[in-house]
Amino acid sequence: MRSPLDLYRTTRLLASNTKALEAQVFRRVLFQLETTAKAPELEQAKARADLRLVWVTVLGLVTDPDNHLSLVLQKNLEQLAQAVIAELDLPAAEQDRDWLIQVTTQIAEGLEA
Amino acid sequence: MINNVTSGFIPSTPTLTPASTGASSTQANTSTTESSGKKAELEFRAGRNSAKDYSAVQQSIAKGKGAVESAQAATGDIKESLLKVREVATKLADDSLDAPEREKLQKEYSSLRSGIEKSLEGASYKGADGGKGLNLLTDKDSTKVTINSYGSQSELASSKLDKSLGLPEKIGSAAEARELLKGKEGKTSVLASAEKSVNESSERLAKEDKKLKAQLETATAVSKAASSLEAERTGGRSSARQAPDEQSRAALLKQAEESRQQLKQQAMGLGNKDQGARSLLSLFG
Repeated sequence: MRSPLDLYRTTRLLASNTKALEAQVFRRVLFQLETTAKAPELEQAKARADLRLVWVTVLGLVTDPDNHLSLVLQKNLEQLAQAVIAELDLPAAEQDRDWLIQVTTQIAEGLEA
Repeated sequence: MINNVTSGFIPSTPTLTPASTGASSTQANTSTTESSGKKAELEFRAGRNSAKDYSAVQQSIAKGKGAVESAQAATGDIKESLLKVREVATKLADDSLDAPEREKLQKEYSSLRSGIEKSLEGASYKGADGGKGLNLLTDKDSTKVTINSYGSQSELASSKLDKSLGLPEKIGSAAEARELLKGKEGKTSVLASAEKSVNESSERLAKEDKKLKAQLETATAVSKAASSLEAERTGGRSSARQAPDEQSRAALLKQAEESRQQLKQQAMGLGNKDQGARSLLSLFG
């Protein structure tokens, strides 16, 4: 039988792994956004589509009544998700790419901690 | 064009409850009045409209939208290339062209044709189909997007375009260039057909994009409403939240910084371990 300390260590490791993996998902879309800044429109469109998919998923997670995050954080993330998705709905030329990168970077950094 | 392939919000057909599964199929076809008093009961399928269900719907629509936007971007590139192909073919149709110039233009044509093939191939959006990729320009089959929590789906049609739009590998002579431009024996030219196909795809994709945008907005609104109802039912948080407008980017950035600090203090990530396909980790397989 495993000791409570072992169980704690395993749970802690799993939790931090999930968080770190989520950070990697954010980093992946950020990398695509940054590297396609001067790429053909097709590559930029894919990067924006991936970013939308990530934020739509975040929106779904934080509006889930069973989500474990604090209500304040849930609300903050929900508002950010709504704003990012609204920005991505604008024509590509009107989107503030730098702002999208900055907001997404903040979340990636939070998850990397 | 998006066609609704299944019915909308409310299930239209009654289904048997598990208690009635032992009943024969003929019983299943009887009406509720006929079956009254019998053990087997007919009732409408329990609806699903929770925030959880809608997050999966939002994901499905976002994936479809990604595929449409990728195809739109590729279509834009292809349109430009076809204009250049027309210019090059027009020059090649001149019988008096000398050999070096013809060779130079032939190379330019080959390069444009390769670029078109590359754009068609590149239209595939990998976020949409578990990493396999969904190409709404060249796929042989259409795909489906879930549009509500009852599982109703819309069909996203593929243009099923040829990988090189039927353009010949090379233009060997002025006569071949003229044939490419004007067709042969009264038939529509290959180039005109290619332009027509691409223009039609472009129009179709624009309509699909508009429709998906509306569906995503609806799914998001319903998700919020479902979340609000659940919060009311469980006495949880208030859901009187409004999406911030685009004027407040600086404030939102500050809010993102606060979220970063709050996230740093969390041991867990954004999702729960049992969220499966709805989790961030399920993306981009």
